[in-house]
Formats: sequence, structure tokens, C-alpha cells
Amino acid sequence: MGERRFAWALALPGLLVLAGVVGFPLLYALFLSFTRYTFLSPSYALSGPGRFAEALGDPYFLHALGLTALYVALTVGLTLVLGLLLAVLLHQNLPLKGFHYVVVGLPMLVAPVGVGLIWKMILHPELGILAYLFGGVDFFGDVRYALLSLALVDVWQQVSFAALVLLAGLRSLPREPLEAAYVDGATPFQAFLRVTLPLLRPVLVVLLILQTLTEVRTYDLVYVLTRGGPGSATDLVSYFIYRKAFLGLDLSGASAMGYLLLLLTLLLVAAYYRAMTRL
Amino acid sequence: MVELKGVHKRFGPVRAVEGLDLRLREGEFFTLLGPSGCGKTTTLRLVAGFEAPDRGEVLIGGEVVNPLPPERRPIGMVFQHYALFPNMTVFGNVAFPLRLRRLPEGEVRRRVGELLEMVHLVGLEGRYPKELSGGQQQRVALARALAREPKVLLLDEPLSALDARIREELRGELKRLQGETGLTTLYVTHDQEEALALSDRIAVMREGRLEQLGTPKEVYEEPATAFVAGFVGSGVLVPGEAREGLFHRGRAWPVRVRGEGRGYLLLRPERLRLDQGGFLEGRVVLATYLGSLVRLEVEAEGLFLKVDLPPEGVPAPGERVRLALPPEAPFVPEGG
Repeated sequence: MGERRFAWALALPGLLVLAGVVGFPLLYALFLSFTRYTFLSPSYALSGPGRFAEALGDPYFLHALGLTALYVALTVGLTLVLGLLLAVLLHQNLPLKGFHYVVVGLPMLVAPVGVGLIWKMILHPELGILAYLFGGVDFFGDVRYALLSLALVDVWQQVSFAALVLLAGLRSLPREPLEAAYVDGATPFQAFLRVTLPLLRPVLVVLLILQTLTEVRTYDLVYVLTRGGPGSATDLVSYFIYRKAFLGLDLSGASAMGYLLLLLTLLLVAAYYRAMTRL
Repeated sequence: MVELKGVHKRFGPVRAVEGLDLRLREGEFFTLLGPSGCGKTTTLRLVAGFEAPDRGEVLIGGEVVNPLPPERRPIGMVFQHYALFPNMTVFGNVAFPLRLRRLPEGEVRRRVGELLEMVHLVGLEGRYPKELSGGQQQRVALARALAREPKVLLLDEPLSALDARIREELRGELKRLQGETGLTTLYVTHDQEEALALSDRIAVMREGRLEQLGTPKEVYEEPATAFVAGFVGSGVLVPGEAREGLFHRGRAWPVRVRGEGRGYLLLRPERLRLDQGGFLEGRVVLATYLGSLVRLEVEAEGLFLKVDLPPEGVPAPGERVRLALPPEAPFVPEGG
């Protein structure tokens, strides 16, 4: 057996599994989005791109998209800023460094559903300690606070991953440019802004892409904490599509929306990537 | 201009610098020379302010700078791996210290222009570091270090990452620039040839201590210790005794030495020559062609001596030869 064939033989089982669990659902959803298949009327008859047009004209879907854009901007922005702050702190010679690492890394180890349940209790309007301290605020029941509260819970979990990735980035930076900046007269803050941050840019962009993808797909926290409410205040697009498919029973409409979301996400990632290579 | 008084620095159990006393004169090109781990870079970093001494004082311009961070010391520094900012152009890199001082943009442009002219990089202002050769990058680093008009220029093995031809070219440039600016310069290197070629004075360091301080000629021709004799230049240390002005090894050798007692005679390859009536008889073991000369290794009286000869008419390995010794040679006392 030639080397090439041997390599293919080794990769084949993995590729078959991938084709089964990723390729098939993707193709099946694409096929469904060109039909009018629902659980009540399960017909595979092709009906053209009408479901895409309907999705783009659906004010609830557009509302969910807009809300998700706001949510992604909020969570990704906060995660990166707080993650960077934590990473810089951990990068210093603090006492009990190992302890700090464990504390910062812990949220990453908890399943999102677990995170949701923990915070549901902490923020519970009658039983929660934080709700008590804030004078009985209903964090998830009040339309003014629900999205922000959801976002903060999400950031609480995501920030540990961001901090650890950025800390690894900081650790791998060469020491000399930073020292050169100090010798040139830069204060630590100036050196951080003008030397460390630009050197850290590749790590930041990768993190930005990963966090954006994670946040666009936010579903579990919404399910556990708000179910999209109050009203549609936290009806993020992933949860909306889930409802469309499994509560509205409209599988083809949900598939079309899923593909539109995929397209938008790809465009966003391409824009990030372009920005990174241009800078 | 720069002074270190009883400076000690440890990293855990490692004694990097031990009781170092140095004084650099104004406008001097001063080199710290030594093998890896001898404490020379730590000494430079103590002057720069990247490390704080455990004991002792660092003074610049008569002022104790121990409590000052690097950005408040009147220094410029060039690093081994250039340390240019990859996100800035050549212009941006050189302008960086000037912009930090909030100079007017017109003044910044004028100064950057002057500095780039000084290091022969006019026309490359818009390039990024990755678009430059190693030599060009190091010139940018040099211009940036000079931009702040420092009182002291610190150079941390600035030529060691460059290939031999560029290294030699930049060595000349460094010497010229230092002469033109008159800057007190502290240079760190493990390359003895570089140290000899550039320096007004050399401090040879070993295990955190000063082994010898002197002019290149003194360090080369009158090494104070066996370590310096072995580290600076090539040569062979012949154990013996100095008595009544002559070197003895079993018998009196016709080599005048200074000192008395047991020690080592330093025989440099360029000071030995082949001569039919030479004092030592030996056999050629190895002949190594080095371009402008051939280095012979000759076994004589249990010693392996090195002799540099012009490439023409060199005896082949196995041939018997006689070696004429220099009339006078350095003698390093035992325990030195």
C-alpha cells in the first residue's frame, strides 16, 4: 500500500464519522430549507427558495437577529476586556499564583446548564442573595434587565477561557520589545498600549472569532434562565430557531433560518480575518 | 559617567554578580567580555534598570539610579534580537521615543531624518521590520536607541545574531558612530575579537566577578589570570616556573618573563615560528587551512603548541620541525 493510500486508510474512519454526524445533518437541513416540510405536513416536495425569503421577511426572526447582534457585541466585548484585565493581572508576580489560576479557570469547567442553574438561584427574585442585595430586583423577569443579566452570566463563564488564552499569549511574547519601549521612555501603560497589545493582536483576533461563534450559538443559558422571555426580551436567534423547529414544528423554515445564520456568521468571521491580515 | 559600587545580584541560588566595582569614563567605549553565564548581561541589565541589585549602588552621571525605573534613566539600549516594534515602520520605530516626549511632529521628522542618515537608512522609512535584513534592523535599533539623546548607550551582544560579513561591517559602523557622538558606551559580548576591535577598555568577567580590567592590549598581552589568558585570543599555557627573569620548565627556556614562582607561560600562535636552530623540537600533528594563514599543531616536549604560518610551504603532518620561542612572553602566576 502506498504512503498516500495508507494515510487515507487511517483517516477514513474519522472522515466517515464526521460525514455522518456533521455532513449529513448539514446537507439534510439544506435540502429541507428548499421544501415546505413541517412535522404536521411532512412533504419533501421541493418548493424553491421561498423559505429564505419568508425568513428575511419575518419580523420575529429579524428581531431575534438584531437582539443576538446586540448580545454578541455585549458579551464578546466584555469578555475580551475583562479577560485581558485578568490575564494582565495573572501575568504579574502575584503571591498564590496557582490558587488564582484555579479560581479563574473554574467557571470554564462547569457545564453551561450548571452555570445557568447556579446563577438562577443567586439571582432569584425571592431566594437569591444578589436580588436581595439589590432590593429584590427580578433580574430575569424584568424586561429592562433580562438581556443584560443573561449576558453577564454568560460573560462570567466565558471570561475564564479568554483570560487563559490571553495569558498564554502574554507569556509567549518576546521580552525585548517591551524592554526597548521602557528604555525609550514609555510608562508601563504606554508600553502596554503601544507594544504589548499590537503584539497580542493575532491572539486577540482568534479569540474574537471563537467568542463570536460561541455567543451566536447561545442556547443553553437562554433555555435554563429565561426561555426567551420576558416577552421576547432574550429571544436570541439560536433559541428562536429551536422554537421554530420543535415548538412551531416548522422544520424547513427553521432550516432556512439556520442557513441564513450560518451565512451571516461566515461573513462576520471573514471580515474579522480580513481585518487581521490587513492590520 | 557610569559607576557600579559593590554590586551583588543573585537569582535564587545562582550568584550572577558578586561585589562588582566598575567605573566607566565619559565618552569611553567599555566592554564587558566573558563566556555565557559570567554575569555580563546581568550587569548591563542592572545599569538599564531591568534588574535591581541585592546590594551595592549603580550611578549614572554621579546620581544613584537604583530606585529609578528604566524609562527614567538617561540610557539608550540596543538588544541582541533588535527588539523592533513589528507593527511600526522604520520611521515609527525611530520616532517612538521622540513621540513619547511629545515633541512637535516637525521636530520628530527632522530628528528621525538625521538619525536615519547617520545609520545610512534614508529611503527605508516606510518599511516594516520584517521587510529589512538583520543588519538593517539592527541599524534601526541603533537609531532608535540614539533618538532619546541618552547619556549612556547600552549594547547587549548587538552583533551576535548577524552573519560574519554584516557583523564586521556593523562593527566598523558602531565604532564610527561612537566616535562621532562621543557617547559613553557599555558593550556586552562573548566575542573576544569584537571586544578587542571596539573597546577603549575591557572588563573580563567570570562567574559574576571581575577577572581583569584593562585596555585591549593589556588584556591580550598581559593577562592577569590563566582564565583571561585562555579566553582572550588563542594560545597555549605552559606550566613551569619563573626564576631570575627567565621561564623554567625542567631547564631554563630562552624566554624572558616578569614575575617569580610557579605559573604558566602563554605562547600565542602568532609569536612562535619555525626555525632550523629553534629551541624546541617537535612533530607536526595537524595543519588547518584558515585562508590567510595555516595553523599548525606541533607536539613538542609533551605540549601541543599552535603556530600560525603563511599558507605557502607549510610542513605536512608527521614532519619534524624546530620552533623558535619569542624572546619575551606573558607569564601568569599560579592561582591567578
